[in-house]
Amino acid sequence: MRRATGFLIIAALTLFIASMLTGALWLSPAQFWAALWHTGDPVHSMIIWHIRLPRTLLAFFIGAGLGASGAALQGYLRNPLADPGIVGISASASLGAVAALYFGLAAHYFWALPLAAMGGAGLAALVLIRLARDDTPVTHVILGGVALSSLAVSLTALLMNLSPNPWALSEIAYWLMGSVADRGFSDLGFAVPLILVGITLLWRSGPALDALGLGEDTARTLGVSPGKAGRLVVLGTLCCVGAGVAVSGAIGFVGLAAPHLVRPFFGAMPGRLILPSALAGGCLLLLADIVVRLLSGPGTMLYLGVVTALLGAPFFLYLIWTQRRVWV
Amino acid sequence: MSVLRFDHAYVALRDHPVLHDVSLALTPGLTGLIGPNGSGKSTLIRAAAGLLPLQKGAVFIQENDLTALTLRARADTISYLPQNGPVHWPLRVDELVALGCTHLGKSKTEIDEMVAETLDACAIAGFAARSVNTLSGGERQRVLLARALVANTPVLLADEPTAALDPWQQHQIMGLLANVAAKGKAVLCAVHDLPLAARYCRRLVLLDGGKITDDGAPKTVLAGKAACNAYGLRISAKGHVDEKGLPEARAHD
Repeated sequence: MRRATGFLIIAALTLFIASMLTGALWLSPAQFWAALWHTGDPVHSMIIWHIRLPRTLLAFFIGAGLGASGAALQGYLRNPLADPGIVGISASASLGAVAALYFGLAAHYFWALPLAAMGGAGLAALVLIRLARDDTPVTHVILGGVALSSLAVSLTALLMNLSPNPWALSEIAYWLMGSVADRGFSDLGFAVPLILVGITLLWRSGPALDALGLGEDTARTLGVSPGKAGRLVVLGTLCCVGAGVAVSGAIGFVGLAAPHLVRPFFGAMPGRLILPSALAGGCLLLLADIVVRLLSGPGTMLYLGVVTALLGAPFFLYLIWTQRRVWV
Repeated sequence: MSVLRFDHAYVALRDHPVLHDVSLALTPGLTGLIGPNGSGKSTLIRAAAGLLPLQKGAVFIQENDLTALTLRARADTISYLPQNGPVHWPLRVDELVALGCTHLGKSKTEIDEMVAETLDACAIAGFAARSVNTLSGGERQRVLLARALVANTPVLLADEPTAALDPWQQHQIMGLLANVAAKGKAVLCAVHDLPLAARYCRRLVLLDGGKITDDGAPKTVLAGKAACNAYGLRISAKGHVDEKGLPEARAHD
C-alpha cells in the first residue's frame, strides 16, 4: 500500500512537470526551471506563471475532487458503478452554469457562472440531504439522484433549445465539453479551497462508509448514522464537483474510473480508497489535459471532457476486463 | 440484574402490529428465540438492537432506556448479527472482522490483536487473508459471527445464524455461541432448528403471533402446549416432531 501511495505521488509530480513543459511552446526542463525563478526568458516566465501553473493545478485539483467524490459515492451507495453524475450534482451544477450563460450573466460578472454552478449543485445537494435520512434506504437516494440528474439534463437541453442565436448555443455546447484552458489564479482561488474542504468531508466519512459495506442495519449497530454519512458525502461531493464544474465545465469518467484504478492496490474498503482515488483522479485529469494540448493545434481545439470520455471509456473497459478477479 | 429487558413492548410495521406487549428479561447465557415464520423473532431482535422504534413500552440495556443511548453507546453494549448479512465489497476476512471493533477507537495494534484472538476463537485464522467472496456459506457465517464477537460486547443478538447451513456448520455456529455465552455474555439467538435449540440453549423463548407464549427450560418449552399450538405439531422435549401426534390444523388458525 505504501509503495502504491509512493507511486501515485511520483506519478502526480511527474505529470505536473510534464504539464508545465507541454504546450504550443515546448519548454525544456532547464527553461522551465529558469522561468520558474524569473531568471530566463520573460515570455517563458509568463507562460509558466500565468498560463500553465493555474491550468495544471486546476486540472490536478479538479481531478482529485472528482476521484475522491467517486470513491465516496461508490462506498456510500455500495455500487461500483456510482460516480458524481449518478446523484445529479454534476448535471445540476452544469444547469446552473448554462443558465448563467443563457441569461448573459456570465458575460457581465466574472463570478456569475461559478456561483450559478455552485447554486445548481447546492440545490441538488439540498434535495439529496433531505432524502439521506437514517430511515431512508440508500436506493431512494440513488433514485432521487437519477431524477435530479434527468431534470437537470432536460432543463439544460431546454435552455440550449431556446438559445437566441447559434453563438449562444455554441458557447453553451463548448462550455459543457469541459476545459481548464485559459483559467487563472482567480479560478484557482475559487475552486481549490472548496475542493480541499470537500475532500476533507469525504475523508471524514470514510469509517462510516466502511461500516456501511456491511449493510445499513449492521452499520447502525456499529455506531454509524447512515444519514449523517450520507450528508457528509453529499456535502463533500457538492464542494468537489460543484467547484470543479463551476470552473471547468462537465468532466466525466474520472470519478468512475479513479476508484477502480486504485482498488487492486489499496483493497476494497471504501474509506481507504478516498485519498488514493483523489491522487489517481488528479493524475488522470492532468494526463488528459496533457493529451488535450498534444492533440490540439491551430484550428483544432480539443476539449478536456471529450478527451476524458474518449480515453476513459476504453481504459475503464480494459480495467474492468483485467480486474474481474478483484471481485472474487 | 438483566442485561437486556423488554418492558411491555409493542412494534408495528406499516401499521401492522408485529409484537404485542412483549416483556422479557435477558440474563447471561444462550437464550434461543423460537417460533414459526412470521411470529416476530426478527422484529424482536431488531427492536432489541435499536433498529426498529417501539410504538409502546421500552427496551432497557443494562437498565438504561435504549432510546436515551447514543448510537455509539449502543454499539459498546450490543452486537448484532443479521440474517443473511450483506457484505458489499470483496473484503479480506481480517479487514471485515476488524470492522466490528474500529468504532472502539483503539490503536491499530490493539485492533489487530483483538481480530487475531477472535479469528482463533472462531477457528477461521486460516482464512484471514482470503476474500470473503471466496468462502463457503458456513465459513462466511463464521466470519460474520467473528465480526459480531470481536468488540466483546455484553449482549449478542443473532438472527437465525444457522439458516441455510449444513448440520456440521450449524453445530459449529451454535457451539461458538454457547462458548461465548458460557463466558458470561447474554446471547439471544433466533433459531428455527428445534433440536439444535434444545441441545445448545439454556433457555427458550417461544414467540407466537407476536406474543411470548412460553419461556423456560428447553425441554419444558418444546414439549409444552404452547409450542404445539404455535407450530401445529407435537414436539418432543428434544425438539423432534412427533409424527403420530400431528393435529389436523394449527390451533390458532
